Amino acid sequence: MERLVCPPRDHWAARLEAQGFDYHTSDGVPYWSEGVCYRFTTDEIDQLEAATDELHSMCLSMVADTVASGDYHAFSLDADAAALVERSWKRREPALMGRMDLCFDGRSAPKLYEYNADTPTSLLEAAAIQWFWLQDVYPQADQFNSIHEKLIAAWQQRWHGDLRTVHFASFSASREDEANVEYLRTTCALAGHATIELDIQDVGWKGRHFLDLQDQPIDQLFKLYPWEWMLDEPFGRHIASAPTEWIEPAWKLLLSTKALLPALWKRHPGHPNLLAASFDGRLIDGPVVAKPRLGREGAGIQVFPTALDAWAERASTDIVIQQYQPLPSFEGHRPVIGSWVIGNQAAGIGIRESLTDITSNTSRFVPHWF
Amino acid sequence: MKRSDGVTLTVAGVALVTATVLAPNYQSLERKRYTDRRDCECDYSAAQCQSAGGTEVVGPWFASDETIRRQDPADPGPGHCDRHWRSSSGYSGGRGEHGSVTTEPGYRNGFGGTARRGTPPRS
Repeated sequence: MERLVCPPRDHWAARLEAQGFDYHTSDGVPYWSEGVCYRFTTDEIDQLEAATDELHSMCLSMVADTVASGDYHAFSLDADAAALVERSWKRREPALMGRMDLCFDGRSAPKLYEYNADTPTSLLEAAAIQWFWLQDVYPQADQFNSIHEKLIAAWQQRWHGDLRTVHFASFSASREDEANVEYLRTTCALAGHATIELDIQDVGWKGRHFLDLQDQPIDQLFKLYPWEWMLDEPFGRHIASAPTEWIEPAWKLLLSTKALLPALWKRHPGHPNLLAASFDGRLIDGPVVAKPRLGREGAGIQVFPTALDAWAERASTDIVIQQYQPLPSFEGHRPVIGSWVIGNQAAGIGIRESLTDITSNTSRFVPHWF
Repeated sequence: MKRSDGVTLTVAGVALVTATVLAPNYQSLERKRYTDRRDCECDYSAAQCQSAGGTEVVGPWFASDETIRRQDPADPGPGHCDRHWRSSSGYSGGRGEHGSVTTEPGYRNGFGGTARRGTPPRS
């Protein structure tokens, strides 16, 4: 794995905009990194793929066992949320996608930082924009990226060949979210389904159904909106009685929380793709990171010299403590690997790099090849 | 297989969305549920009264807020009998028996509040 300077394309900003990626620069700060890239070996890509598949498989086993035991204490789910998790799992509602954030330097085994299993973004740039970049800059090279094809296949397989009307909802005040949903909607349409997009705020409720702006029932809804927020909002009380199929399914509530990390470590202590994690940190040696159970985009993440220090300052049931594993540094640039799972398969990676140890919403997307 | 099949990788339509929609005001809706169809048809037209199982009938949805109703000519409102015919003891115009009427809520904007408070929904 190495970070390379590569030739910037002529009129690259206009090319990105023509591809629907009009948020490549935000407030004058570039989000897309043109002119640099990461190169991997085939072995390194194989490692990332295998680790992602294994971690996802471990996650599914954890969900199955948790539902079987009915013990949701570690996940802080109330009875209503737990009932939704159980119902969606027992109905075998399929997952569509998720993105694991992995620490990887090409030398050690990939390590799981967290699993964005409910509302992952950076999908458009990972699936399509970096692929177009590859065709322009290194057309003879390969890229770990079959996200697009796997999404279309997942939509095709989802209802066993039936064609449905699928609604897509996001909070439209966010251009990035809107573009991610618009791209995903395109993959659904390419699979043959009818699609309708609306703001999550425009979802209506009239007695028995969630409705769209034309007052038509919403039978299938992809939402780029976290489950825990929906459950906490006024319409949350209607979810259990509505016939709507939710994408992602409610069982993702067990994976999209940092509480997943101690749960996996407890089941697989010492696993090469996991970092030690617990709720109190007492068994973790050395520096640790305190993470909010439901934090996003690096918010609230803090590094401490020891678990005792973390516990002294941040002691809370809403904090998860994880062994500190710094991101690798490539001349000061620190990449995190976003490894995509589509359906139940590893499908590709997107890389965001930062100048600090914590990847946040100011990180930059960097394309890759091998 | 690690790589995409380039020929299928088209994202036409990705750039379609351009407008940012501001959050509308919270719009609370409601409708009436009747035990007697005649009561509904006193409030609304027959076409606006739908069977809701058994002998129950529901009227159309209308905005709870009168200010919003005034701005929307298509809003059916709470029904004519409320204003002209029905009193607490029955119909003043002698238009049949007074069946029970309940109001049930339905509305938009019941999702999105957390994001409106400024937290990014993505991860």
